[in-house]
Amino acid sequence: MNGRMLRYYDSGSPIHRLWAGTKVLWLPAVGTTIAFQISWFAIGLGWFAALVIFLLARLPTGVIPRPPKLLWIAVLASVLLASLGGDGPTFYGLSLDGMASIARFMAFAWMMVFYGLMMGWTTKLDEIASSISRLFRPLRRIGLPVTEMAATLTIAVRAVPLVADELRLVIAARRVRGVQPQQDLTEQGADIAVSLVVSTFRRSADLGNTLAARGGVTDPPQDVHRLAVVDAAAFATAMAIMAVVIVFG
Amino acid sequence: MADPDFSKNRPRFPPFSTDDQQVTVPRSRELTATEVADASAVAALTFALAGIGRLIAAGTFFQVLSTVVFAVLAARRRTRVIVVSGWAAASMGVLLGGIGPVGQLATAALFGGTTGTALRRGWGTFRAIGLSLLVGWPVIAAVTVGMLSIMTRLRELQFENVANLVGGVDRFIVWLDNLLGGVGLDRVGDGLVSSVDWGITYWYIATPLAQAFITIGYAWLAFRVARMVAKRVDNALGAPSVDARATGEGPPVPLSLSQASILRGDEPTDVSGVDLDVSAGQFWTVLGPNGAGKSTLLHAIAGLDDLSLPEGASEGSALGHLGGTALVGQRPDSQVLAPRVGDDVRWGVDDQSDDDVAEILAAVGLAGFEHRETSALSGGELQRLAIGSALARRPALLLSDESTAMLDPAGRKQVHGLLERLADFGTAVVHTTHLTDELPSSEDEVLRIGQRRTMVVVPDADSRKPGDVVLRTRSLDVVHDAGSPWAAQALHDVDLELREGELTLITGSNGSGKSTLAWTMVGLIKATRGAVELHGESMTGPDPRVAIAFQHARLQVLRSRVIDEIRAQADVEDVGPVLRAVGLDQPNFGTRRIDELSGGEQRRVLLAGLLSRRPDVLILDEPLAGLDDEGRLRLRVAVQHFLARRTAVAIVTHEPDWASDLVHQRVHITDGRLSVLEPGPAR
Repeated sequence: MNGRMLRYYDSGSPIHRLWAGTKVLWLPAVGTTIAFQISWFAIGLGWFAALVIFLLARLPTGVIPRPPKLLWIAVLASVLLASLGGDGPTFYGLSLDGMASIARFMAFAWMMVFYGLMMGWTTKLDEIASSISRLFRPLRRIGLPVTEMAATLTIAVRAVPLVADELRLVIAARRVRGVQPQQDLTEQGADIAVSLVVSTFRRSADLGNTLAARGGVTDPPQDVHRLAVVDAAAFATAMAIMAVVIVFG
Repeated sequence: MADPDFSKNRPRFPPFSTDDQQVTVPRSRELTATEVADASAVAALTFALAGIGRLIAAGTFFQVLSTVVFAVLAARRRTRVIVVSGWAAASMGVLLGGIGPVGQLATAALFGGTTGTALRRGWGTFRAIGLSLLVGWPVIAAVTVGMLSIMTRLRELQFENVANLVGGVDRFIVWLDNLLGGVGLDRVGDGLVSSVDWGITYWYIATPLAQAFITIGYAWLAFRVARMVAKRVDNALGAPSVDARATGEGPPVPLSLSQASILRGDEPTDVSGVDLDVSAGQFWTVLGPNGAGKSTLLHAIAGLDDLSLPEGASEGSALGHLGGTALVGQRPDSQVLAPRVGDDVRWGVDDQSDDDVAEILAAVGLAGFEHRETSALSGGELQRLAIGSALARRPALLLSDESTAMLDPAGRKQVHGLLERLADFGTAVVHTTHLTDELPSSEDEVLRIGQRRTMVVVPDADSRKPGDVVLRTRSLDVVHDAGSPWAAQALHDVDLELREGELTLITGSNGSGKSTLAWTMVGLIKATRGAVELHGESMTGPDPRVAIAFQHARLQVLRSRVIDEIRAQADVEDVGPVLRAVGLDQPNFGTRRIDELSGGEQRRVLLAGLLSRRPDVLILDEPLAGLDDEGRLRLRVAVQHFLARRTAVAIVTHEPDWASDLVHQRVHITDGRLSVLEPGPAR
């Protein structure tokens, strides 16, 4: 996938050296706590932490994608409508309360998007996958098929760049077609899905043979990343943020 | 639109499983190798779809597409497979930006699972929607209501925003009503406000209710599309692949076949009369054209795809076991399982030290590659890694199923050389190929199968007449991801002219920028500086007069039958002439299904369509990859037909020597810079 999402940018910072599993646990924990309070204070603290992490990760500002124009239009339209419908003091007929409420939610939603983007810039997909497999490994005791899950996830990560190339090709092929097809959207969708799915299952038949030739379904090589001081610091920071948010609202 | 007939008499779908028992259900609860492979391939595809959906802000379309993909998987495999696949996709979704994409992928897997189960059971639309409502909706509703009741403040904020938005819409409606002079629109606005107010007050009823209606629409759409898709996928692929049979403990060599027939299940296949005696340390070459049965033979030796050798040929393949049989196939990207080079060597053989891995990598010429990402390797490097991972099991027999066919000449030479050296490790090798230049000097260890002769008709036209310039690139620069830290200049100041009726060969190594040039010339990539001119005018995007044929034709050929595909390219009545031109003139070829054809034939169907479209410029991206001698000859004739119709043809290839008598211009790209090697005789 091209573009600035999901693109790893290596600066060798402490954030890059964090165990991927630390980030996978950190984000939902902190995010959910902030969502629970959803106050300006909590969101402000969340953005502050995000900017500190951005600086710590030594990322250039060029990594931030430019949102499409359509998004700006949608944002403007919803702010306008919400402030037309809101109560309280008004400013040129626009409700300040309405504006503040929608701004509060957007500030939260964009903060989560920004955290997600930072995860992509500082973490490789295969590290996330192996750390998630590792986090699930103890669940073998309750009967989860963790071996198959880990093998599936590892091979899936391996297949992502190949599938992304195919997707790019399918989209390109439609753009260069001479005659525009006389079909409705579902039929076009079906055509695309057939191409992709046939190609996907052809590949998976090959991958299945490869897996069989490696002795069948076994545990893939496991994540052996050792937790370091940075991980302890990250966990401590998460605890601190969550405590402050819960206590001070 | 909707199929209104829910009667029990309609044909049950899908044909491969009129009842649940016929789906391949392995005895054990654990997933098999083929199930894991399907689950991971589908997870990768749905993850990529979710990513693209976010990127181009067309989330809903791609959400339905992901659901359909999961549904096809669920129609072919057990529920367990969907659960694992959905879990894997959602796990990767973490990287797309947290909880939103994870939830989307989990939802797609959930409703894909219910839709696919309905397909597998041969149910109609009504019952399919019913199953989604019964299984999918309670999960979604419970999660939403549960979260909303815990997150009280978030809930209040969101409901306030919804009320404000609806209030804003109401004020807009009132304003519009006044503008129109009071036509009663305000009552619509009042109704909207009061129903939303009701919904917010009784949110624990309203939210699940709304979700039930959404579920019905979503399930209906997903089922409608998935039914079309699953049927076509089933026609294309047949039943799901099955796992390797247990074929004995080995050792796999000596292997002795005398006038043997290969069996599929208990039935003999077309491949018969095979004489092959393999003993330790031998290097056998099996030579034959595409479709001669080379893969069938190797898969039978390995015990894959329900294929087997006659009793007593060997002590068993012991596929994947230590000292057993190893397999390296044709497509480089499918032979490697792990995202990191070192992990791939370690896969399934846990007791290897770092030194062992380094030693193996050095033996296959990949010293120092241990921590590299496999997605960044070239085809030749991937194949050598696959051989290395095979060596980690110290195999007695290595089966190389056209492992050199998709590689460039340098990569092919390295891989073939490596295979020949394996004898030194005591490993016997059976290598299949369609390339006569890979034959050893001695015929002792050579098996030839399925030789045939090809007749072709070459169009007579003076292809050497000088032509006018059709397409020209002027000082072309292309920078990928300009303005970001990943900016990379792919093309520097490229000037190239394509003339009508002339053939241009564009060569260059992997990553040199030759594909970028091809994509820019057809308008798929925008020039950062300079321009692409068609008949003297700057191109701003794709143009029907400029066509491209990609190497992976199946992704470009979208219709299910040959004739429909050609007619989708151009409105022609008689497809006979163009099919003859590309050498696909067997009787009734037009009605054949695309997915019955080989990759090379699909490529030629695409060319037949383009030939009837009569483009001014045709660009072929790696058209020679994997083609045998006959396929190459057919392609050459097809190119001659384009040239005879005065189309300017440019071929992007690794092979500088192909069809040299037709070539007018030869250019080479190194690091994005173009150099003209040979101006054609026309100049």
